[in-house]
Amino acid sequence: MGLASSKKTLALGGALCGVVAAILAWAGNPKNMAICIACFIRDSAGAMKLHTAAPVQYFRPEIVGIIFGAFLISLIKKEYRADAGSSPMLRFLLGFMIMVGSLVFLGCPLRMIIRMSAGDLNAWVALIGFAGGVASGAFALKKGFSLGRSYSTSPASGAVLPVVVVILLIISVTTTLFAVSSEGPGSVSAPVLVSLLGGLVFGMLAQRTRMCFAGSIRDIILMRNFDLISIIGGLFVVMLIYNIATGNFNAGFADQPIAHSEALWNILGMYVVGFAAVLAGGCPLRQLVLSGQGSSDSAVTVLGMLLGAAACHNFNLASSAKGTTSGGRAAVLISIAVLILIAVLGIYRRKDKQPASDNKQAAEA
Amino acid sequence: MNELDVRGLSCPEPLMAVSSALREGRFPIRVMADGVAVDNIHKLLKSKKRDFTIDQKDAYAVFEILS
Repeated sequence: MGLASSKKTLALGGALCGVVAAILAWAGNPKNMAICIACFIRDSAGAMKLHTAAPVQYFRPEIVGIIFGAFLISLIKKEYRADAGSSPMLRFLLGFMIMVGSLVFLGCPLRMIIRMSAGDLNAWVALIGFAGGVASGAFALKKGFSLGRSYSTSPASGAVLPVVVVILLIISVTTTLFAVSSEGPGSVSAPVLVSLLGGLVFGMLAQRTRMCFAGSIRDIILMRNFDLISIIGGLFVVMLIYNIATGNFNAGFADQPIAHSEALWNILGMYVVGFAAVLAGGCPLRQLVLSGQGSSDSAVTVLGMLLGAAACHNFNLASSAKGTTSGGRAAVLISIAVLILIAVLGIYRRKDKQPASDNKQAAEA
Repeated sequence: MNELDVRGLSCPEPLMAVSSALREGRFPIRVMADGVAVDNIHKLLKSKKRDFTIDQKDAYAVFEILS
């Protein structure tokens, strides 16, 4: 059962992830970002010129490390399992909307925790929205929401993303094909090797502990299970100690690094992320890890996040330290409507039970 | 025999399905599960002190829950 056995080992696993995040922050990653999945997918999208926002372009080795680390450890632990076929395009949409919500708030759930640990009260406000989104998703699950079964597929299909990101990293390091910011968050980073190693360790730990930010709140709501939240607790405590020790702790709303103080949109942005993440079966970090251990469905979700990030910057939906944009606000409201629609359709689908072919294919698997 | 096939479902659907089957209480229950769900169901049954067996196949596991 590996690291996923007792609350104590889970909290320790989370604490180790916190240490990795602290090292990355200390080694030069942007303030209160450390290892933000949404920000780093956004930067990577910019590096590949999917968007051209000059301050946020850098192919982040952390993302590669997390996916490939999860891939390696799942092979070693014989947990690698190539599967696909659970409503991939709905997952693409969910990934896209996760990114819209994240970039309106300015951070994925992982960065929300990191910002909370640095005293950024905007992130504490956003937590209300995130928990509300998770609760909405949990309600849908309770009503029978499902994206349907996935089925075994060619082992090579599950390996595509882990291998492709490594090739992209090699291109990024050895050529000048990719864009790199000369100013802004994209220009601020830990050395490539530190980033890659940090990502690998983080990905392995996250795979072993099943760390998930959406899942931790979801499990409390649905099953009174506190296993996953103990991981987040461990990470939070370590980052809190790091921030206090380095003088980075600064309680307040104003002048927080790469953040804005529009409470309503911080709440609604993270509401979208929480809701979409529960429907997709995991937060952005968990999607990266699952895509590493063979899930093509999660890989499609990651592609949705990548394109979502590109759209957010191409069409001026992403917030900045100056605040939200009208496009971003509209995108959040549309996302909430689409999420409700997906949830209702997913519940309705379940009502007519599993079709006969479903059972037959499952029996063959 | 109350049969439950939760293979290929995303978390936490397998656990929720098993939980509600336990609540309904039509034993014995046979559960087919794969991936992370196997560990999770195992933990759930142990924590609820259920009488059960596991048969680990190649790609999935079969739980027989007796009570």
